[in-house]
Amino acid sequence: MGSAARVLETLVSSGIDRSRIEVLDDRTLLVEVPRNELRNVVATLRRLGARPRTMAACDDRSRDGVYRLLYVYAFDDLGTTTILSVALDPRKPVAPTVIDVDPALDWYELEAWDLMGIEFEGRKLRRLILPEDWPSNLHPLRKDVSIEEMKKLYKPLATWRGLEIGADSVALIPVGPYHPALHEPELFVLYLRGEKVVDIDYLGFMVHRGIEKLAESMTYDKVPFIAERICGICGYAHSVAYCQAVEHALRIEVPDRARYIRTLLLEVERIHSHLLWIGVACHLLGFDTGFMHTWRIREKVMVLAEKLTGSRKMYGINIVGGVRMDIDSDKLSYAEKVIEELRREVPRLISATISVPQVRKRLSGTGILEKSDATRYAVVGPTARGSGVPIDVRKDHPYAAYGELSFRVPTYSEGDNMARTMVRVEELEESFSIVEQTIDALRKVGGWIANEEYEIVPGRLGIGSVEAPRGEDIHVLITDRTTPYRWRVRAPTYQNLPALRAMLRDCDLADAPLTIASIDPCFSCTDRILILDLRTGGVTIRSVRKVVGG
Amino acid sequence: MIHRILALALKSGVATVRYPRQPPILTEEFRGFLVFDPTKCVGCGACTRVCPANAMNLEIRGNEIVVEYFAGRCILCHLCFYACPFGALVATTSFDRTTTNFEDLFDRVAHEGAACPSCGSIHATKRLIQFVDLVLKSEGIEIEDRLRLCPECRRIEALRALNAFRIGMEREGVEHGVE
Ligand code: SF4
Ligand code: SF4
Repeated sequence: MGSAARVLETLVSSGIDRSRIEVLDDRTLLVEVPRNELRNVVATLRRLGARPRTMAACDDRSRDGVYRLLYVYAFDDLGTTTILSVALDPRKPVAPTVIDVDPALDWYELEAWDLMGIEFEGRKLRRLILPEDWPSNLHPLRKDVSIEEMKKLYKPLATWRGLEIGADSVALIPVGPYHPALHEPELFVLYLRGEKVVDIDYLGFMVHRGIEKLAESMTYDKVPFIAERICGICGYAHSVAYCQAVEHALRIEVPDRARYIRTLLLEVERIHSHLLWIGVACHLLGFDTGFMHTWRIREKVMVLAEKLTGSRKMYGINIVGGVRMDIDSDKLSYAEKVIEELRREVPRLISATISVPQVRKRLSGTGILEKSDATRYAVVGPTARGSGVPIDVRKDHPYAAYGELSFRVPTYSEGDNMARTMVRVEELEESFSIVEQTIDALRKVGGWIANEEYEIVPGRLGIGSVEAPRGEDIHVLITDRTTPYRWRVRAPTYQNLPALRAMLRDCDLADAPLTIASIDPCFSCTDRILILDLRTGGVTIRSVRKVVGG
Repeated sequence: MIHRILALALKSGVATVRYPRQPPILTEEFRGFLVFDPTKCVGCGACTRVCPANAMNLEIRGNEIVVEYFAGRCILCHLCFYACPFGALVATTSFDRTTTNFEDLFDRVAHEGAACPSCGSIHATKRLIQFVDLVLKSEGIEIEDRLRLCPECRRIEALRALNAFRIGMEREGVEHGVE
């Protein structure tokens, strides 16, 4: 392939020292960047057209005595990932901010501060994730902070309130918030002038569960099950992304049959997810009959998933190295039949929902995200493709069996709610075709479904990325002997939410819920991290908190 | 708008069932809750080691060793079902554990514990030890005494034996003269 070699040449000719670049494999480069050159390098990468994918803060003090930031960039057209590694002082980790040269990294810096205690010079820092009553110098992802210790140190305000009213145990139940779109905990504050939105704040991160920390004490084969629970809609994508990260780090070859089974299920998941979204869009427009019929059809996909895996939604069949259950020919025939039905039913559904004039009118010309903003915020998935940015992990960084299949990446340039809708509608067609292709392949490709003969080498770095229905899921993983040393999850909504600010500006208030929904947000995925349920002496305390957007 | 959706509605008819009065739509592949077959379980604990949700636990309670399944935590992954070497877990397609009694969420098998003849601690089930002994005997290996020891005492015992062996070797070396 040699695309890594090409990126290497480009980087060297842009002034990055050759000796600092390490070629990890033909798709991945690791660049050691001195702290004081970080801003320059980031600016150079952005100028060269690289897309920020994620940033992971790591506590490497026990490994090589430093804190470390890993900035993960992609050259999508070359299918290459470039990781910048910046070592920071173990006593006082401070990094220069890069948000003026790469605005898409705003939340990442706030998160690194909040969870790992890394300071960023040249910007205002605030809490993004932890509750406001969290102890100020307790950064949960640091290796010297244990879960037990956090449970002891965190005394939510509700405790005092409980004592005040003389209760010996308190259950605090937040009622609301506030679902403008999907029924999930999130709060948008819209600033209006008349009927027009002038700005928005997002208050979120209300459902942290601390899974990144938790996984540091779970064996490799148990994590796929918790990874799948990051999202109740496209969790399988997360479980694949996790497994791929471990497989990348430990260079595990996944058998062909397993790659096809994963592909089949990823597309089944996309079909149900896109249908779910079309239903929700109808519901938000007050068109509940359309919602019902979309979900009636989606139900066939849920039953199909159950037939293939044993579960409607939490497929639970991934393990590191492959899958743990095979799909026999009866099930393949059943899947074929369901796809046939969908091919008949979905166009009829679209003509009775999305294509009716009343719906078209609400979708067209609303919630516009310009291409320049899409690139600026580095949005992903249908949100990017609706604004003319033709990125799709399945094509750009092929994984599972996608490299061997043929499919289109539907792209629209209007950037409005209609464009994002049409991307999803056309992707359904593509997914039907991909499922059919994988069924054919699974009838021919035999062999093992898992490779369980691998050696765990500590200190390896792996990247796993998957094109989930909402966009790219990317997991960064560093290995330890029996458990992950660091596991960093980035769900697509994390990347897409900040762009809502651009989409909602000057939008009519009435179009705001639909526009928010148009990125198909998933708040729980975005929120994945912290500990929220606390059991302190039998009291379950749940804190309500606010995080005000920048 | 109306005529298109109406045509669709008339064509598709009723798609839902009147659950709970009618049975739910479930496939036979559905991974439901598990129940123990107490006649087969030996209390080996294999299921507790693979469970990603800590829904399976092995606990020493007095003289007994209890394998406990807590449906409230179970994520229906069926890893335990595949891991059990004795086929002692029965997979059902039941998904509804609605109850007003917390206790209903548990399923348990209690096993008689085996006490270590040396220190008296309960360390495994009698059934497991009998089983292992049987397997070993069929291979011609007779170490029943050692099997009954708890892992800690077994280690001490092994070290003692090793030490005795070494001392023996050294003596022999002295007697025969080492070059
Ligand atoms: S159920 Fe099976 S695996 Fe679990 S303790 Fe009993 S015999 Fe062992
Ligand atoms: S099905 Fe999975 S979660 Fe439930 S007890 Fe078995 S291993 Fe644990």
